[in-house]
Formats: sequence, structure tokens, C-alpha cells
Amino acid sequence: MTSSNERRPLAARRVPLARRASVMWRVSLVWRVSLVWRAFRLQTVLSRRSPSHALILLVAPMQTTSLLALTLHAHRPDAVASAVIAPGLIGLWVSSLDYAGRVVPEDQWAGRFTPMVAAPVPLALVVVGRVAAVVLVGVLAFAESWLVAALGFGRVLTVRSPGVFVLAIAATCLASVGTAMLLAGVISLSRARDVLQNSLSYPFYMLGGVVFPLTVLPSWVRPLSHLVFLSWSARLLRDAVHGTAHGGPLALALAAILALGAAALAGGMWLTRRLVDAARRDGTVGYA
Amino acid sequence: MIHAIRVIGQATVLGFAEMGRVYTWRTWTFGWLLRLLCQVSFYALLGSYLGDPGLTRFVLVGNIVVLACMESTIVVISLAGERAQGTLPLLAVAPAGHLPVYLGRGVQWMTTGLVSSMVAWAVLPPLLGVPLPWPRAAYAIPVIVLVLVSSYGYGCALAGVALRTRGVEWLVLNFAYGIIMAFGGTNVPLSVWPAPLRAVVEYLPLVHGLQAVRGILDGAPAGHVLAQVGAEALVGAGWYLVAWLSMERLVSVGRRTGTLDHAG
Amino acid sequence: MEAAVAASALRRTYERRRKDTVVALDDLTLTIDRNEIHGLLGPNGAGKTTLVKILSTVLLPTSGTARVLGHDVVAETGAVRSLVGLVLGGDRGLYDRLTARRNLLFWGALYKLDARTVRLRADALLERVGLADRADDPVERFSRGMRQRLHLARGLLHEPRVLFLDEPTSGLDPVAATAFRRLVLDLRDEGRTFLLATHDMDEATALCDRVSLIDRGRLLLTDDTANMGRILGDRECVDFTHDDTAPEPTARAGSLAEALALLPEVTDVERLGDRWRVHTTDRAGSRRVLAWLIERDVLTARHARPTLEEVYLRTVGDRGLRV
Repeated sequence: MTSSNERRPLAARRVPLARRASVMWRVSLVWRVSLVWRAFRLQTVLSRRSPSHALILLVAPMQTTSLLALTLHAHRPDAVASAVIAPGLIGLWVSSLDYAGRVVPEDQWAGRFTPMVAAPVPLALVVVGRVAAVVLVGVLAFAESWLVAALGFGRVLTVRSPGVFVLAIAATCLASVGTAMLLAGVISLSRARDVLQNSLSYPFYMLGGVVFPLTVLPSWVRPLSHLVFLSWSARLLRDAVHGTAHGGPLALALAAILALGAAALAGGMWLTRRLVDAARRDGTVGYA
Repeated sequence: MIHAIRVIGQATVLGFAEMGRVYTWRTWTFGWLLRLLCQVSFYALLGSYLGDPGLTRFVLVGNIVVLACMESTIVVISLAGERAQGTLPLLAVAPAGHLPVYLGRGVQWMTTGLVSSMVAWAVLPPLLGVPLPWPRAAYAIPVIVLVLVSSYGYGCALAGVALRTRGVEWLVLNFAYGIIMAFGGTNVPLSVWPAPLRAVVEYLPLVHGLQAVRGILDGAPAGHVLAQVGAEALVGAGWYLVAWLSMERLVSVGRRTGTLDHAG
Repeated sequence: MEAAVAASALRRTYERRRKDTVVALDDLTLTIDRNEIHGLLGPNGAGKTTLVKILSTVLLPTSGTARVLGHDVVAETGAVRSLVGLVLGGDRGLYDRLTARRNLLFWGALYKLDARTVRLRADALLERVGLADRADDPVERFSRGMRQRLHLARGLLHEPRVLFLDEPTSGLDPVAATAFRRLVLDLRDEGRTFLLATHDMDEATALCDRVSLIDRGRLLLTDDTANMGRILGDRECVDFTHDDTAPEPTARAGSLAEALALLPEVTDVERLGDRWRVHTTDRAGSRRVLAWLIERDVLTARHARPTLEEVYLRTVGDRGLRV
């Protein structure tokens, strides 16, 4: 029998317990952030080399054209903001769904998942970093959409509350990363992966009211809409453009976006851990 | 000829088998079909928010017919798979030739395109409060089938592009039906666009077929409808010709340059 | 009678970016007799696959001609295609989501076989390659060896008279590879001709009637597999192995080698991995060396001929991992 004192390394014995915990916590936080950052960088390099990751940048201008043409044809200049904002939100959603859903399955398919599970880092952190990189590509869709409106239709959209707009975009991106994590987990665990990836698009654009106010939807659907961060983002972004976002409602919308994003992130991290556990238990680490 | 038909048949079986590995009838119905119905409703609801029921119906009809075009065009992905799977050089040296394979390889998408556009045609108009004039609406169904067939040729032609550069099949597919959705008269009449753009759009599938469908619903003279149907058929035939030339060239150039089997 | 394959002055170049040209085949002339199993040996990038592709009409030669059973591979592609079977190694080239049987039915249609014939042949071939009880499983669940066997079945569907196999056993375990080779020998007995591109020397030794060594697109030599040793001057050698843990240093292999080198009938002594090779002047010399070695308690000693592997290493050169 050896005492616990003997087994501990010499250096550790000299540091008081509380301080040691705090140092370890800080080291591990720095280490975790750097891991996420490296995963982010890896994905940036990968995405640059894979043309399909530019999909949303191809789709967004065409989507803006469709929505804006319809809006202008209906003589509704008041709705131009919606038509320009919607492709950006759709871009964020598509990149969450399309790419984020692919990060883990592609690794499984290419045989990189096995060494990843064997590596001494939590898979969830790697996935967060990579997902963040792909989701941020979606942000460019906002810029593209604005350019199409300005150059293609001569409609220069001015933002009345730029500060609120930037805040709303930032919150929306964070929520997108969280949602992408959740989707990555759901899609990776699902047996009908392709089906999910193909199907979770338009139903959410409708629920999220990305291009029309929620009042267009039947009243029984609306409570569901409040669970989709897109609905809060769409409204907040439109209000920022029109300069009508203030005080309580503004804070509520921001809080709702961030809370829904955080909940999704937590769910996604939990699912990713379950994915690894299930893979080790059922021996499905090696193949998709 | 008999061999070509058998090859098309076998390729069709192959296509359905591939689809069966992705979808069950249940996941297809509650996943894919539901998504398509939401896609149509998304635009139709925007139409209803922006304008009157007339606009809603215009957008609704356009987006239902687009489903037929969109699903047919997915053949791009199936054909690009031949390069990814390394079967292209083997197809190229088969005595029956590789061309009939392409004609059967995406028939499953034409079939699901038919089913989903028919379901949308029957269900969505009453649901969104803009019912179609039956039985006239039934006369439009053969035109939708024609759109399916002409869009398939368009998809095959674009597959020729997707097979030349690796990893671009999804870009090609989304661009292919994206420009049709944006400019093909789906959401707004063609007259909205400047003349040069209109002139180009004339050569896209769906465009004339959709005008024929709208003509049938509005009780336009038979001559106008038939002319649009004829134009759609011609455009479709043209795309099949482009597809044929493009695939033949892909293989002959591939044999010359040794690029037939580059992994996708 | 026409040769099964007759390639004459075949040359194939690839244009790379910035206008530099890579020569994959350089003036290659080769004849393969009917009913022969001909091995094509060479390092990675030697031009083996390029030759197989040209002969199976997948690729056009830059210049030169090639005929398969008398038909030109460029001018008479139709005739060539129905006479040859192409079996590419590796994981690709099958429809993963289809069952093994479905894959064969599909390719049967492409080879213009009627439905009944395809079904019968597919069953027979699946039985023959040992996949009968997995016939209705999707190929994506197959191991590499099973895929290779299905590739072979696919290549045999139209009963080709000449088969081109490109590294058909790469990545197979020894048992699967042996079964695969037995199948090839059976098929040869049915009158088929094989061109087997490989870099597996044991495989070439076990299967091939003749082998050709190619490197950097050039044919280095062609000969009967059994005669390959002669290429190195038909030298006489004796191989021995020795227990090097013997207590007295004079009995160790190094000392033995030094002593051997002093014998009049020995021209050279060299170390080949864990064995030693003694080059002798003639057969009588070999006999005397064998007797000498056995007196000194070596573990094994045998009269040896250079193997195909040595011919390969000496001809192509030992390039390590460079290609």
C-alpha cells in the first residue's frame, strides 16, 4: 500500500490546493480556447480548397433576386428590407445545416474519426471550432445580398440603427454556431442523415419568418416559431434597418437569440459526447 | 436499340436502389416531400403577404411547377457519382456505350418529381386559399410531365460540366435550378426582366412549359398553349443534344488526355 | 495465329501544367501469346497502368500501335471491347449501394448480354468467386478482398478471351490472395490470356508464364519466369543461414564468411538480410561449398538461383521509397 501523498508528483505537493485548482482551470481554459482556434483554422483551410463550401455564396444572390423581384413587382417598397435580410439569414442557416452536418460524417467516412476519438481532446471542442469557421462563411451572404439589391435593383438599403444591426448579426452568428453544433450532433446520430440535411431547410425558413412577419403563419404555429432563433433574429434585423428597435423588446430579442443559441450549443455538446460514447460502445467508430 | 433500352432499364434500377439506401417511403414523405411543400408555401405565403390572391396563385403555380424541374435536375448529382465511384472508365469501354446509362441514372428523380409536384398541385392551392380551376387544372399535368422530361435533359447537359471539374456538382445543381427559379417566370412575370436577359431565359427548360400551364389555368387560346408546349419540347430536345455531345466529348477527350478516371 | 496482345513502339505522354510533358510509356514493344499469363512488373509510376489502359481502350496511345487478338485498339475499339475484360484493383469502380448481384446485372446489360444469360452467369460467377452467400448484400459492406473478387466477376461476365488485371491482389490478406491466384490459373486453363500488372514478386513467380520488367515507361526485359535467374548471368550460388549466438567467435557467420572468401571456388560472399549468399565458380564448386558449410554446423544451406525479386531489384535498382 502506498499513501496518496507518495503518489503525487513533487511539484504538486508544494502548491496549496485552492491555488492549484485555479491554475489548472486557467491552463485548461487557455488550452481549450487554443484547441477551438486551431480547429477553426483547420476548417478555414479545408473550406478554401473545397468549392462546395462556397455553395451559399452562389445561392444567396439568386435568392435575393427572387425575393426582391417579387417584392418590387408587388409594389411593396416597405418590404425591401425583409427581402435583403432573408438571404443572409438563410445563408447562416444553410451553412449551419449543410456544412456543420457534414463535418463529423465526413470525418467518419474518410476514416479520420477513429484517430480523432483516440486523441486526448474532447471531440466537441474540435467540432465547435470547425463549425464556427463554416458558419461564418454564411455571414458573407448578408453582404452579397446587400450588393445585389444595390447593384442589380438600384435599392441601397440603409440601416437606421447600425449599432443594433451589428449586435443582432453578432448574436445571430453565435446562435448559428450553437444551432450548428446541435444539428451536427443530430445529423451524425441519425440513421437518415441525408434526409435530415435535405429537409431541415424551408420548414425552418417558414417557422423563422425570415422573409415575412409571423402573423402570416397560422396562429397555432406561432408558439413554435418562438423556439427558432431565426424568428427573433429576422425581426430584430428588420427593426434595426427601420430604426424601430429600442429598449425592452431589443433586450428581450437579443437575450432570446443568445439563450436559444446557448441551449442548442449545450445540446450539441451533449450529443457529440454521446456520439463518441456510442461509437466506442457499439463499435461504430470506424464507419459512417 | 434493344440493348440501349435494357441499359436504361438497369440504370433506372440502379438509381432507385441508390435512392432506397437514402430514403424509406416514410422519410421521403415526412422529410423530403414536406420540405418541398414548405418551399412552395414559403414563396406563396410571401406572395400573400405582399399582394392579392392573384399574386399568391401566380407564385404558387410557378413554384409547384419548379418542383418538377428541380427534382429532374438532381440527375447532376447521380451522374457526378460515376466519377467519384471510379466507374466512368469502365462505362466508357462497355460495348453498349455509356450514353444510355445517363438516361436511366436519374429516372428516380423524375419519378419523385412527378409525385411531389402532383401532391403539391392537388393539396396546396386549397390549403393556401387560392384553389385551382378544376378540371382545367388537370390539363396542365401533361405539361408538367413535359417540364420534368426537358429539365432532365438540362440536368444531363450540366452533368457534363460537373463531371469535368471535381467537387462542383452541388454548385452546378444549385446554379442550374437557381437561375430558373430566379429568372424563369416562377415568382414574377418574364416581362419584369430586361430584354437581353429575357432572350437568354427563353432557352431554359420550364420557362415555356410554365407559360403553357398558366395559359391553361387562365383559359388562354389553344394556339398559345400549344405554341408554348412546342417551344418547351424544342428546348428540352436541344438540351438532350447538348448532353449527348458533351458526354461524348468528355469520354473522347478523357481517352486522349488520360483524365477519365480522376477521382471525384 | 495472331498473338493475344501485340504492342509495337507504344508511346504515351501526358501534358502537365506549364507545358512539361511526362512520358508514361516510351517506345514499348511487347507480345503476349494466347493462353499465357504475362506479368507486368515495375515500380509505382513505371507505366503499368498506362499500358493496361491503352490495351483496354480506356486511353489512346500518343503513337505506336497495339492489337488485341488481331484488332487494333484505336481503330477497332468495338471489337476489342467485347474481347477484353478489365479488372482494376482497389476499392473503386463498383456501385457501393447496390448488391453484388445487382452490380453484375447492370454490367451485363452494358455488355449486351440478354437478361437470362446475365442472370445465369452472375449466379455462376458469384459462386465461382466465393460470393454466392453474400450476393444480395450491398457492396458497401464488403471487405477489400470481396470487392476484388467482385471486380473479377464483373470482368468475366462477357467471357472475355483476354483479361487485363491491374494490381488485383493489392491489399488482400494472404489467404484471399492465394484463392484469387488459384482462380486465375483455373481461368487460364479455360483458354484465357492474362496480362497481370503487379509489383508483388511472389504473385508474379507463382502465376506468370512470362514476365516483363518495365521502368519509366521502358521495357527493360521480357523472359520466362523460370529463366529469370539467367538474366543475372546464370551465376551459381549457395545460400546459408547461421545461428549467430554461438559462444566461440570463430564459429560466427562473419568469421565463416571471411573463411569462405578464401576458398578457391568462391568468387564473392554477400549478406542478404538474415541470410548469406556465396557466389561460386561452377556447380562442382557449389557442392564443395555446401559440404564445407554443413561441416561447420550452419542452420540451413542450399543451392540457390537468383529469384525474380533479385532480378527486379538489380534491374530496376533499389530506389528505396523514391518513385
